[in-house]
Amino acid sequence: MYRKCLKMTGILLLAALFTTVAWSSVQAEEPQITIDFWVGGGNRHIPGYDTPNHGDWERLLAREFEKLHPNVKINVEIISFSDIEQKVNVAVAGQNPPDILYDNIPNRVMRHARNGELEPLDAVVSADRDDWKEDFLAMGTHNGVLYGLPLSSTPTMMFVNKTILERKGVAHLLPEDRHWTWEEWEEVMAAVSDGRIYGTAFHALNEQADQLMVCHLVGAGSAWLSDDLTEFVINSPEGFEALEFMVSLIEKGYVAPGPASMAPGDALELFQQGRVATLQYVPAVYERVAAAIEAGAADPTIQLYGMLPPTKEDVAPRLTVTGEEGYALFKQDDPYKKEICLEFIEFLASPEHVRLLNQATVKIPARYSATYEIEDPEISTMMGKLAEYPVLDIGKSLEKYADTRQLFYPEMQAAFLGLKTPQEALDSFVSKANELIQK
Amino acid sequence: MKRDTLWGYLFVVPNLLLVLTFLIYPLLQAFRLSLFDAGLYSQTFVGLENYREIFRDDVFLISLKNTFYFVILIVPAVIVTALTFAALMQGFKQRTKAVYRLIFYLPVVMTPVVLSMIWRYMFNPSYGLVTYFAELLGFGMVDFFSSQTSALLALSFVVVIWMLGQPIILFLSAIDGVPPELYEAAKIDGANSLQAFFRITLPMIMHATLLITVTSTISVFQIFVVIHLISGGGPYHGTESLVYTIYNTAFVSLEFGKASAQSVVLFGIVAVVAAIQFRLMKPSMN
Repeated sequence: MYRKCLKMTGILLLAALFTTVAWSSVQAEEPQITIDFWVGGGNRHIPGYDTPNHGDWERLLAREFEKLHPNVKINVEIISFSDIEQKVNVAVAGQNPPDILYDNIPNRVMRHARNGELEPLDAVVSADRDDWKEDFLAMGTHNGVLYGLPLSSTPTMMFVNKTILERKGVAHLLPEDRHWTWEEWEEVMAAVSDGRIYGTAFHALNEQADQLMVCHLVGAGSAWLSDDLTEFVINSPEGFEALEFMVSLIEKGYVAPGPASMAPGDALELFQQGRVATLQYVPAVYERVAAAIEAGAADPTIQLYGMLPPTKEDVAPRLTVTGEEGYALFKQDDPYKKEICLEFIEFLASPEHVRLLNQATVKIPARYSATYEIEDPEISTMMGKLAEYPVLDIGKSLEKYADTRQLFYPEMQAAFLGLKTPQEALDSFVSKANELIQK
Repeated sequence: MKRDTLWGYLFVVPNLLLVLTFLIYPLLQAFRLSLFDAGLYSQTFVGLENYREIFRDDVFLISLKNTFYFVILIVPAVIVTALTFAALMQGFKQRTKAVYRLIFYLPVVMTPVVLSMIWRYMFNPSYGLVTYFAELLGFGMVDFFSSQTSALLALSFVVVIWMLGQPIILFLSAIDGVPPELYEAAKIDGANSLQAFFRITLPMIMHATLLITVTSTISVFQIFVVIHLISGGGPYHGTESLVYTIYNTAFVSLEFGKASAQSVVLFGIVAVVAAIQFRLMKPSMN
């Protein structure tokens, strides 16, 4: 009996050992990995795909990649742009960042590159580098190494709701050259503003889309930064004149109420409701308004007319740029996981995916092969017009650029509310911002 | 050591470990970090320099002032309103009391995020509910965030609504615990309802009042979510509280040493205020 028990125990032990070895060898062939993929904002309304909500596109691509790699699980987390910076900072401070991040490359991602938190992405573009536009890759390059891979960028522009102008009998003031001087813009706003409808909307709740307000501030010809990017110079007489003009529009009742506490999304919401006649925003509004009308969430009578940013007489428009979202990979300990992550980024940044994303958001693609046809003549005309004008460098390559944004919007709030004069607000911002970048 | 004492300690140990890990240790770390210039990747000992810097920082001083304004506006409002409602409900039948308890407690169980988002839409000057009713009554568009004062008042109102539920429950419970013989005796002596309330009810519920005062004060000193989601600390820092400033210093500016120093200052203020409240109200309890 005793020997029988001993035999059985021996057989069981051998079986367990064999199973463990076999299972380990199976595991070694296909290690299960999980990728945490954090997405700022998230994309939707991708042509040909059922993607009605923000982030549907990223979730769809993650599921497609998982089908190609059954041992890979991708956790997609969609985070609003107003919260993603803090969330990533907290995660990095806790030594628990995501694996892959989709966020604005110059605004936020490059800080982590400078701090040595990111893996190089040169391998992702090495096979088809010629297809990538060098000025886009430069945005994500630090010390000659690519850390952030932007997929697009978008210039800012002005939208006019032609329907409001027609109802007010001033549609004839729409210029064919797509540009108003300040006087012409103010004339239109005076004609349409009636206490329920407003000429335009400003926003200064936080740093989101502050490039739209910067575009107005340089409308009198002021520079934003010095040529060598070592100091802010917007508190020039021309900068003061531009902010004074903006404040005068608020005082005259041409600007939607509450600019100091308005978010850019709130301003767009007012425009979609037909409560605001002109709005400085990005070309993606063409798609957003169309989708909102289809969903019954916008005034169906809106007719969009694209314009260049208004400027003082004899001052040529300059465009600010935003929307430089792309991918970054945080440092990986596991070489296999790093390999899969790089493969996933390459998958996400394929020419087809970049084309579809830019087509949906009316942005400029970072790849030559991702160029898309614009069928709508209005959008096509406007994008062609925007390509003729120079882009203003607002210092996104500066190490402390993200921190200077936190100093800008409180001063705009103070100016809009009359707590400070325009000169005081700009002087205060320039003084604090220069102290920060020169530290 | 006696067996019973040992068992007592054994039962307390898990909770004690949690308190040590999640309260005491972070507190000590905050004290330590406040003496360093600490970023994401490096720490340099700077002594009391962080404290000197924060008291020279205009934004910190404004947020300190705003926090005191919030406490002065919100805590008395919560206590007086909750006590008034509890006193009025005292004479209700149990079923009616239960309905009102539910109504007042609903905001407490709702997450502050949901509450803040709803109020943010209600406060919108162009399409919010407050403006809608104001226009119906002939007042025109209402923008609470057009001035720092009105923004402070608006946020205080939101916080009061949110905080009312728990004090009402506590006051109701405390009032129910007052011996009815005292009211009978007072009635015999010719006291009216108001006299009975101020001479009997209020002194007898002083322990509950002290608890609510101290906990409400501590909560308001830590006010954050409604500010972050409704006003963003604006307009122009007008509603920025201490905790909001600490959050920005730590997670936006990545200055963890300075944020720790601000936290230590907040800890000191709350401790002193709570001690003063205990001292002032304890004789009344006795």
